[in-house]
Amino acid sequence: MSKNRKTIRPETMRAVADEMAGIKLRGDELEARTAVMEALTESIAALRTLPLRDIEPAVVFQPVERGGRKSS
Amino acid sequence: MTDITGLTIAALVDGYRAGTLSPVDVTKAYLERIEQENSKVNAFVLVDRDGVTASAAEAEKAYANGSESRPLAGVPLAHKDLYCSKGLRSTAGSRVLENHVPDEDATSIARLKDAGALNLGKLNTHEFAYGPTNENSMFGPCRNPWDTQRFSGGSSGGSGAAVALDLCAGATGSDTGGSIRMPAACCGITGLKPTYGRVSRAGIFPLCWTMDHSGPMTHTAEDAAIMLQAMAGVDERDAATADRSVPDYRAALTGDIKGKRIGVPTRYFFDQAQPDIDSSTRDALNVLEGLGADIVEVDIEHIEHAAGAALALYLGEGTAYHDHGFEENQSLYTDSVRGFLELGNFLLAKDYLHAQRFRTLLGHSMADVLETVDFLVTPGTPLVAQAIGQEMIAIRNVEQTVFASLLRNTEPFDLTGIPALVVPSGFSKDGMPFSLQIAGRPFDEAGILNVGHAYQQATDWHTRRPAP
Repeated sequence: MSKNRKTIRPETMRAVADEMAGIKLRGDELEARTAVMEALTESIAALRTLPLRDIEPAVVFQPVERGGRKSS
Repeated sequence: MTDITGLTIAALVDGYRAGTLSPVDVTKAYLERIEQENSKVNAFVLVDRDGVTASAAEAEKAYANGSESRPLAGVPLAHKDLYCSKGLRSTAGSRVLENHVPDEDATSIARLKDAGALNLGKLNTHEFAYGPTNENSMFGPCRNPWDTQRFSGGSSGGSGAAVALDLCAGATGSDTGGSIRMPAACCGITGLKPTYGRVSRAGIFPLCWTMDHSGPMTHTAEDAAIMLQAMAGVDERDAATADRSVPDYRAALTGDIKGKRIGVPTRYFFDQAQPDIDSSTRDALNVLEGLGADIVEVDIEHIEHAAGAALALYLGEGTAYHDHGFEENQSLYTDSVRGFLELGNFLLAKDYLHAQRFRTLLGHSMADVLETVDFLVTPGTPLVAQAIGQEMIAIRNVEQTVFASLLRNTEPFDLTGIPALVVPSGFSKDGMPFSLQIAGRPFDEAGILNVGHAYQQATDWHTRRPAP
């Protein structure tokens, strides 16, 4: 369904968790978390299939104006 | 006589004005109750005993000489530790900010102080608000006052637990995916996420700039209206605040909802709800129908993609915010939050922008539905509070993460920025609170508060308290 994405494998999950975040996952944890992560990643990738062609992002640029409101 | 810590904000102010209650006595009662009860739930992480006692004495003096007319004068509130409090340690629940003492109040706190509110102290939060349970905090988990083996819900868990246990009269919370409404639902209180831009975010540590909201957590819709009145309005410190007039929220609480059309989006919002939550929500809809509302089933197109879009936004914006100093501080974060911050490094820019485009798409879907009905009503959360540490749950034979289930019904209204209120609506067989969520058109906080008020006039769920 979703385009341009590879399925997350347990060994990828182990490497990312360990090397990037320093989190050691046991075998059972690894399987469970890989399944969760695959579902999360798929949910993001699924956005690519929506009818978004003529829709702008919900972010509006505001030129900086001295004396105006600011986001600190 | 009812213990004075069990009174609503409205009743406290009435009592002060009538001279039957004293801010000093009320504050003392709250401090004693915090001393006795807080260790059970770990809601307060800082108590400003000296500061609040001095402020209470000033309020008492002002009432005595007839010069006090501010709407929250002498009312003891407390604030989520994600908010900056001038001169008080404000940590966002993280060791990263373990010794952080701001020199300026968050705008919402400053405005509540201007309205006369007292500050009892700071309340536990999921670390940097990055999670729906309040299990991850440098102070330890916040526990649910109805069953201390369960989580309070988060990220504003300290606010939910403190209000439920009458440790303060009301509290502030923040809501990015449901962080006001989830702990309100889990702890059996009322929580309001206003429209994006209605209340300033200034001085609150961000989780996700484009979805962060600030709002009140109280026992009643009426009290939420009183707090919102003080918090709402344009703020020069926050460019996202809307420059539009603030109505009189309390005056709008007529309790009359005759002829109002209430849409019930059963697909998605009820599909994955625990069966007893589904039935209690339908009981609540019957109450609203009995008050004269018309109940109609509606469908919100594309709603099933809400969780994916929200996740992309948390990952993109959360990781960007924490990028500065992350290398040096990464060992100070909890594993869970550090994992999400690391994961954000792998999000593609196009997926982040697809998520922002999806918000517009979903906004049109909701606006279409809200042209045919005045309000939407759903279960607040699809599940009751679960055991601390529990990661998975099966609902209607679908195995899912507790994290995703908690966020499911609240996230759509952060994505679209429309106002949403959670009110207590019953209890499970094992004594855990159920909740009802009422959403409305942008900036119609008055409308949803009135529906909540009408429901609370007809039911007594909001008056129930956890056993001591």
